[in-house]
Amino acid sequence: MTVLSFLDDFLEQVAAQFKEVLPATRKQLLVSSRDAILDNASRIDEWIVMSSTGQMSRKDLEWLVKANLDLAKMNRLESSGLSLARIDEMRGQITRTLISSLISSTGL
Amino acid sequence: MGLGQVLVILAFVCGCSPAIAPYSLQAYENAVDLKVDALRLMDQAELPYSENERRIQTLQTRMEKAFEFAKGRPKNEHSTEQWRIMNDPAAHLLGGFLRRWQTEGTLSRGFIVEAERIISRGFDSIIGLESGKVGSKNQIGK
Repeated sequence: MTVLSFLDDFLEQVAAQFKEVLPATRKQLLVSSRDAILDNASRIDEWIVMSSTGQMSRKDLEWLVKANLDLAKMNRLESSGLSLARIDEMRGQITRTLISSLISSTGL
Repeated sequence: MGLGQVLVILAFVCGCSPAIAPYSLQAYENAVDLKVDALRLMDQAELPYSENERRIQTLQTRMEKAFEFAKGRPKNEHSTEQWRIMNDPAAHLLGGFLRRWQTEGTLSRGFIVEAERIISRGFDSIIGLESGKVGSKNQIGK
């Protein structure tokens, strides 16, 4: 087996792994973003009602809206951190695939 | 295929450093414990700040330790930034809530309940990131 044919086989296996993982990640991201926007909108509506009925002050309302923005920052950090963790996980999978490909191609 | 070529490919794939710090059981436990204790303390914010000052200071010290622990781990910028926002008195999560409590003396029940909901989700975000890191599957639930 030549290096080129080995690399072709190996990259095909890697591409198959990406094909499974990426659409699922994209769908998860879209669903969670949509849910977060809808949830935030309904929360802010509730706070406006609470503020107008005297259950909380205008200052409370402002603070909570800003807190929601900070929470969004936290969630963005979580998502981007998890993406990096997935990259590390895939790198681990690629290494395992590479080793098993090498073992089968060299007959070890 | 020669052994040299095999080694070059292996070194290339395996030699890259990880993109993010691996899972830490201590970081996970810090976040879970602090979440429970912070929410319990926040629930007392209808009472004067001065009556809870000692407990608040203890919690703030533990929060700072959690931040420093996160900051000291290599490749851990995302978690460190999460802790920074959570602790920052000028922001609007736990640090900001405690500062507001101190400034106002007491806080209203309606505000406390809503703030607890947001801050609880902030802690969930820290916990979610830690438990999604590589190596968590082997350790969570042990």
